Amino acid sequence: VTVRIAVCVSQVLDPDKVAELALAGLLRVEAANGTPSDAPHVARVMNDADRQALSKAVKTGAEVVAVNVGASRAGELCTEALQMGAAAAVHVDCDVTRADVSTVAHLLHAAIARAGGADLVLTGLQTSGGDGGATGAALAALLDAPCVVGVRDVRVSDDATVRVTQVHAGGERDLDVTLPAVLSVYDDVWKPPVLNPRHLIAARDRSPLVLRASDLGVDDAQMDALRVVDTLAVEVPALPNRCELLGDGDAGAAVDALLDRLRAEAVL
Amino acid sequence: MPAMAGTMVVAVPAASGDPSELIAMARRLGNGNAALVGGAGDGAGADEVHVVGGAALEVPDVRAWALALASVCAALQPSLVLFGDDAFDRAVASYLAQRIGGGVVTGVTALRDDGRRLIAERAVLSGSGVETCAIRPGVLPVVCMARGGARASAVDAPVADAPTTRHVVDQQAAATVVDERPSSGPGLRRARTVRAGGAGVGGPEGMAALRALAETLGAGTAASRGAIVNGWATAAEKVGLTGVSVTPELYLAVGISGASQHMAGCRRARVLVAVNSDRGAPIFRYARYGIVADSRAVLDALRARLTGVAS
Repeated sequence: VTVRIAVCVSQVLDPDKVAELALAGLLRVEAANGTPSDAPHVARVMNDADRQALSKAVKTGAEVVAVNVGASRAGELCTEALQMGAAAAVHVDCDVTRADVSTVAHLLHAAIARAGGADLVLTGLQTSGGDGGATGAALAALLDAPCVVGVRDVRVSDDATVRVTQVHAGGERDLDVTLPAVLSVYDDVWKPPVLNPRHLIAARDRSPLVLRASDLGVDDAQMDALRVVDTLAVEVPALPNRCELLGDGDAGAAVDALLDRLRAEAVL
Repeated sequence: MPAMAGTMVVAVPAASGDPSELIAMARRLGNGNAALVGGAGDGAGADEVHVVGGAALEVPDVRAWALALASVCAALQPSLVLFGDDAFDRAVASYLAQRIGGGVVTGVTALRDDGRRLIAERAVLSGSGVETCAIRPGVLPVVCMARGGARASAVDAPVADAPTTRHVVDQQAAATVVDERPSSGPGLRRARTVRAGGAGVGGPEGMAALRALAETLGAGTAASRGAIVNGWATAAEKVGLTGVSVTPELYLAVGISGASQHMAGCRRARVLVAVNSDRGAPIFRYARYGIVADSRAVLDALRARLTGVAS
């Protein structure tokens, strides 16, 4: 089987750290580009769903190329992807604060073509940063490929078909999907596997291909023209912090008080 | 506020809740016809109904639905396309936007027209932040509304005898369903009351107690990632950024710590109740009422009070 898989990986601020800052009331955001203002102190990590997608792609045994569109520092993701078992990695170095979903999809599309194309493209279901789960489908539209979302498992059946397990609101199902295709991956129970020493050794001799957006025929003016949605502001709303604690540790008394309140609110 | 002219399309590619909220939202934003486009014929208050069908739409392929909707949009020339906010809705919306030169915004909790362009608010930063963004003038807005984002709009009375047009999609299906494993329980999205369990329910018997209570009340059962990772609940039950967003009247969170990713899917419930043995759990920052106690004792007491039977 000679299926080639491209996996789109993005770099996000460590979501646990962001949540911790938000809870502590310490998350401040630069209005101009929506980045937390103390971002230098927050680690940047590979988006969890993208990491799952990459790991599952490598596990199929197919040839995997990792593709990232991001700021210069996101290039480190490509090195990580090679260590996780990607045969090649492409980093498109650009100012993502000037990009929306559509821009990123266009750059990913061009980068995958530059990397030699792919039979199958995997993305994470969404980024924790806030792409809203739209990037994979936008890329699928540019590739004119079918697209399945919420994929928990993928197996390569033959050169033309993959079998996927999809989780949806009504349960889950297995599907045979004809290639080429785009799958967006998410798996709640996934645990990162231990890095394979063979992959680590192979990664030493590989380096990511680093491109500028302009290398892909997208200059600054085109970056702006591709964009259709503009960020006006990003705010961190205060948490309600108006919880009435009931029962003082006594479950029975707490439940009695709760039921009184819920009846008064007419929600029972 | 100047309203958008022309037809507004409400697209329902999957059975993702009641489209009447979205139709009311579309009417509030514009002064043209509200057209419902989807796989079912229930008008839900729309002025016109377009039912699309065909073998390719029987399987959950985003492209098949996006191309079908693109063809209906080409005929209707809408000024706005509204979707629900499931993972499938989001993907179809994004695919469609790319095909027809639209601008997509997903996870939208508020939408307004500033007279020149459409302004949307949506969750970012793992649910901790809210982004205000604008779809550029001249670009067709394709918007996925989170449930409850449209709730504020009063739902209109159904339009009697809304004209229905049927469209048959002549596409080859790119996927085949080989096995379907439905999960049981009342549909989470439509549930008026939701009981949700997390790692703090303590085990499968804790989750079972929660289900039993939900069943007693005809409530939906949901879960946070903690319960799913432990194998006590299925991924289809997950509420949060990567699962379902719900806006019930009552959301009872038992043994859920309150990670922002989970809260993004339930914080717009009308009344949020948290039960957790850890007083410091973040969920109490979001909740209206809180009980700091062992979750099992609270579940047992609740069931005894509500059924009049001691368990």
